[in-house]
Amino acid sequence: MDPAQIEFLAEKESISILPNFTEDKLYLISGEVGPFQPQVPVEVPLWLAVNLKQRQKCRIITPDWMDVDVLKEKKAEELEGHLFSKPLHPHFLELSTIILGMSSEVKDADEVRTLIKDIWDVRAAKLRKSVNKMINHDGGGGKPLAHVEINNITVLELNTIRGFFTASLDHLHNLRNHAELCLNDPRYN
Amino acid sequence: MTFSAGLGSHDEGHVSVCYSEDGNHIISGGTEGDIKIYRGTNSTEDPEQTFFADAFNVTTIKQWKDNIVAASEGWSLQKWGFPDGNKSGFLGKFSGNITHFSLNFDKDKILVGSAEFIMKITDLETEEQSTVKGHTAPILRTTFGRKFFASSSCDGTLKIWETKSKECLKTLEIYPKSNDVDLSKVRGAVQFDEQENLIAAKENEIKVYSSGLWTEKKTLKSEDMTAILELELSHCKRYLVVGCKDGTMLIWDLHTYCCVNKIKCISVPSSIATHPAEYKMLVGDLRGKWRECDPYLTSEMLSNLPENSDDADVKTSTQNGVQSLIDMEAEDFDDWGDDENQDIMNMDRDEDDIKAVASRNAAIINDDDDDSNEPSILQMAKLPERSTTPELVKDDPVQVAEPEPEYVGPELQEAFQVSSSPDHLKFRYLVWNDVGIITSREEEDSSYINIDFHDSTTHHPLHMVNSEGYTMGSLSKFAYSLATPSSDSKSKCSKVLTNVFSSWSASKEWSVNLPKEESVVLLTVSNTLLGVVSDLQYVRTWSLGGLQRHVISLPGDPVTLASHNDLISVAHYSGATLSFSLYDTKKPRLVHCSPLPLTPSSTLSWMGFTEGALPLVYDSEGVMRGLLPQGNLMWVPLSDLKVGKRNLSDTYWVVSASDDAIKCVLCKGVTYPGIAPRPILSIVPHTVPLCDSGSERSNLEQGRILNFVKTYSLNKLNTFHKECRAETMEKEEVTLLLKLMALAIKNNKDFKAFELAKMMPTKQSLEMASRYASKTGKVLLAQKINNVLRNYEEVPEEEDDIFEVTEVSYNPEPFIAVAEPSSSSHNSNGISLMSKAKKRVSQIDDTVAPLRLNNRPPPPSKPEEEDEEESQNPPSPAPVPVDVNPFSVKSDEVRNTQRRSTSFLETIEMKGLEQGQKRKSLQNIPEKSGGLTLADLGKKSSFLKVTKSDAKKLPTKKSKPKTKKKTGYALWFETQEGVDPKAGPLKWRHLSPEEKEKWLEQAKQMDNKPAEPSVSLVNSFKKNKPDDNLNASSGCNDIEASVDVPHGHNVQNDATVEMSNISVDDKEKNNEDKVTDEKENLDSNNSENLESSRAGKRKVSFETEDEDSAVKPSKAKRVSEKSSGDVSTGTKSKLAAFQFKKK
Repeated sequence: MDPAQIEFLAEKESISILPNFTEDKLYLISGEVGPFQPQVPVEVPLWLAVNLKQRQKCRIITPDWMDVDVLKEKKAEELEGHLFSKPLHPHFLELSTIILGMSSEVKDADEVRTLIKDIWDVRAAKLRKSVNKMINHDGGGGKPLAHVEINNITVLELNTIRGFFTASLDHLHNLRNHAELCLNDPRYN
Repeated sequence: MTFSAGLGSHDEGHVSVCYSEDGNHIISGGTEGDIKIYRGTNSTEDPEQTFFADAFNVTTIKQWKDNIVAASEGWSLQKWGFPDGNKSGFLGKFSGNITHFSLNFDKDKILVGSAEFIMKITDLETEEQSTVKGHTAPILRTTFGRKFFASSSCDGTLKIWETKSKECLKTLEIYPKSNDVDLSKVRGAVQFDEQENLIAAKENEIKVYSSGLWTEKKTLKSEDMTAILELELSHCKRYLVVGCKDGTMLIWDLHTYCCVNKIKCISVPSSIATHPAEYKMLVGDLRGKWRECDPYLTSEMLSNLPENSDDADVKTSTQNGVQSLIDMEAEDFDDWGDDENQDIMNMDRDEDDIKAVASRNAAIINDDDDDSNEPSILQMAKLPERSTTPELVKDDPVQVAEPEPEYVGPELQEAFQVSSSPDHLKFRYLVWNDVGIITSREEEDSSYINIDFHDSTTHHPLHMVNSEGYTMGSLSKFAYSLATPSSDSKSKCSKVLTNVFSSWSASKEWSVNLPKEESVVLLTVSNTLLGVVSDLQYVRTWSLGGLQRHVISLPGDPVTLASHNDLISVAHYSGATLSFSLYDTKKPRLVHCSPLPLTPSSTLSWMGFTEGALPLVYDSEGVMRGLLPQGNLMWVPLSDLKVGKRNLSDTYWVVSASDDAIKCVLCKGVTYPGIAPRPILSIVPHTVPLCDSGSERSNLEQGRILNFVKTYSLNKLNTFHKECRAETMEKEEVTLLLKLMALAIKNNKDFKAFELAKMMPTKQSLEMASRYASKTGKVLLAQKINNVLRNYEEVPEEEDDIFEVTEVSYNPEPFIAVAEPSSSSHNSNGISLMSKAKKRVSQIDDTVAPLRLNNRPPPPSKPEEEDEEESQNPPSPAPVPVDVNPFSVKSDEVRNTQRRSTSFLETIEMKGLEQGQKRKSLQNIPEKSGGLTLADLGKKSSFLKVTKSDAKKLPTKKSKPKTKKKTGYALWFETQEGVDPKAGPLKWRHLSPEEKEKWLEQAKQMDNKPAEPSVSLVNSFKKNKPDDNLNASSGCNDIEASVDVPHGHNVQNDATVEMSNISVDDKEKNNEDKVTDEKENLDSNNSENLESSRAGKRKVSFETEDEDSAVKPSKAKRVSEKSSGDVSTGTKSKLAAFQFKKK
């Protein structure tokens, strides 16, 4: 999967908007949306919100978690533990990127952007660290670990390492096998 | 005695004034630091000289010889030349503000008091300076005699010093203590009189201390003398001018210690200066102006004045003084309003009054001094009045200074605009409602008004410069309005600007000025009117175009104002109670007026209407109430927002409310929401404060109450919405009742369940209840309900009355939407009510449909294939409908619908048939498909020929007011099928006179009986079945029978219907044969039988209704499905096939 696909998935997340038009319910495949009344908050999928916003038909209500205080707290929590903390939103990076790109109404937008990036960096670092740990860990008898458990990881994070990680594990596996062969091969001894 | 107009153009604030030594010039200093020299006061000309005092706030100013000396905030006492105003040096420097200075009698020494606790005495000739220390707080005032000087200070003391030694001789603690001159409650004015007796002003009295001994010699008191600010002696030092805070000036004679004159000045004196030679004085005030009083003694006193004040004829002067006590009129400020002018009008007191006051003033002299050796007592002894003046004891009630405790009523709420933030804010909402938001921003140099619309389709956002200073705003879907109150100075009128932005006209904006003395307090604009409440307690209304409509007087101070279309509601005080008045401006009248119910110790914070014109109020304790038409209009709490509130300091700022919920802004810890970032609305559903709230039961109970509100609001909506919503409303009610009943049954509360069942609005729902009861095994309950069911017709619908009241009181126009003439006859008041009518229609829709199909005579002579087709058709799956009962309708209701549908289709048919040109005319038929089917079938089936022939005679029924009168010829012509229209008149001419007569008579009859059904039809039936009655086998009458058969006879009835269907088949054939005969016998059967006429009509209606169902195939289908439970399968399938074919 590429990030665009994940973004596409993330656009299904619902978000509150303040429409400035009147419209009855919309019947979408994913379910009913609306009715729309001016200045009355209504939950819509992000893609619809983006569309409406582009046509200047609504104001996007910034989600609660896109708040400086909440993000700071989250960042602190993330820095504290060595495990992944529960993300603010399963698509927090995608959502915040889209919303910050769309809406100029986000309070302290720059700070929010920085904080989200910080959180992302912390999490990415943790991911790399745990990967490293996993590869180097001795699963017993010189064999690598058979499996690891990682909780609270977002799709996007998983996706960033999946391609490389699985491929490199393959390589490692090959090499290890190869090493065994080599060890056993009298030609190399 | 006149006061000059306020002169001087200093900035607002303290003004100090003095006369020049020769009395020809006036020198004044103001807070802005300018010192101005004027020549005389007769003209308003500009000052001769203006110069800057080097520092702000000139506190004291004196002039002698060629010097002007002024104390200002600069830490030095400056000297200027007079009259040129050139700076000529300093008279002392301090390290703090100079508070006051004074010259001695000989004008060769100057005493300066400062805020840094010290005083300095400067010898003006030698410039020798000495410092006097002793006070422990800033000096308030100083005074310089010959041998003594005195000073008052913020430390609460009055100290008397000896000039030579500069030693303190006496310290008197007579003032309240304070920290600074600005904070001091008294100004501490002190003066020496000619004998160097010290005169000191306390708060409400003046103390005179004898010179040398410094004991209290006299206390001067007067009722009129309160909060003394200033003391000044006349040039002769005989008269003492006392300036009080309320602007009263009292003149005391220091020889007699009597008050000799009282002058009412309108302003608070900041300084007083007396003329060096005449009885004139200057009064500076706190508004940057000064005025001259000339003279301050009465004319009589002046004429009696001795040349030398030392040899005063005390007696005369005193008598004069006593008699001359009058108020004087002060000339007003240039910018003083007319209103205030009245306050300072001359009061013409009659003689008695003057005497009474005078004697009182004269009497209030206390002689506390027992020491007869006192030097000044000798002079006092000379006074002959002393013995005659009635002496009053100190504790005389007249002198009691304590004000009587006034009754303080409950604090009245100030007027406020609905959904606005207070006007002292720089960024504020003028209004926030369902339509949009008006905000006002005040910036440094200018202010702006923004109007944002929630719905961008209403209008684009508006941005304008608020040059007029609008402080009130209102917004509706069609217009916005802004208003400004009249300014304080009343120079600017109160203005209202209205912009009807939805108007198509080029000039959308108009504005109106209120009369000069009136000012806008509240403003509202609705979709049809502009309402304004002014401070004269008028409610003024305009149409949106600007037509003045009404001026209504309010009984008390307005609090707030709201409007909805033509309704306008005002919250106002009547006495001390907050009341609510609702006016209907369309038909101008007071709809409702009652004290406003508010939670104890709360204030009104919002008022408005729902979309359905239900008046609402919201108080500061979070309770929303609606004025419901339950009974005769009463306030019902709809919501208590305090219940679900997490934080006590949170408040809800209501923006608008609907039947379901309140739209508000949650303000955390504040009362008003901020402007940026724009807060997000919260939608709080209504929570009726019911007992046991939160439980399932109370939720359902609440649902019913709110449902009632909605039903009410419904009445105000347009017909389309009404139709749509009335059904859902009723369904909702039934659902809620059933749920409640289920809950009650579950809890074994059978009686309650029975109560609920009795509340069921329709018979169907009652049946459902009964079925539910029997299903759950409550046999007794089911039986009870069935009993009710049986007597259902007798149950009076009480609701109707309530609604009628509402209708009459709110909207005097009767509903026409669903009302039928017959239903109004059913309803005694002639006002058919939406809800009821709707109820019926919904009943009818469900119940009549199966009836129609049940009793519809199946096409008798359809081609054989059709029949086969029908029989092959599998019976439609048709789930057994639970809620359909063909018998739950009153017979007259059935009639109504039938009559209605008849007339509807009749017009369609006739349109086509009248013209005798089917094809062409059919295109004119609104419902083409129906018409075509009819035409096509007419060609094929003989059954439909009958229909046609019947229909041809229908013009009789067309004799409604709107249709043209039929002539006999027209009638005749219609019977002549296939006759060329051109040949018609010829043929008519060939008819026999008798025949013509007959047709003409018939036409006449039709005109006379517009509502009667077709005579010809009636006759046709009469002819066919002369012995017709209700029990006869005629299809038409069977219908009647089937309708009237009581419940519980289903099976039999079905059978009858079927049989009748068959019999009708035959009858139809007969009809066909006898069509021609009918025509001949028309006149012989003129006296028609009502019963049979109805039956005849019924017949037509059924046939036409079949067409009706063909016109709306989907509906017919649904109906056929519904009816399947009751109709035998065969008939049904036939029917279905028939419908299908038509389609």
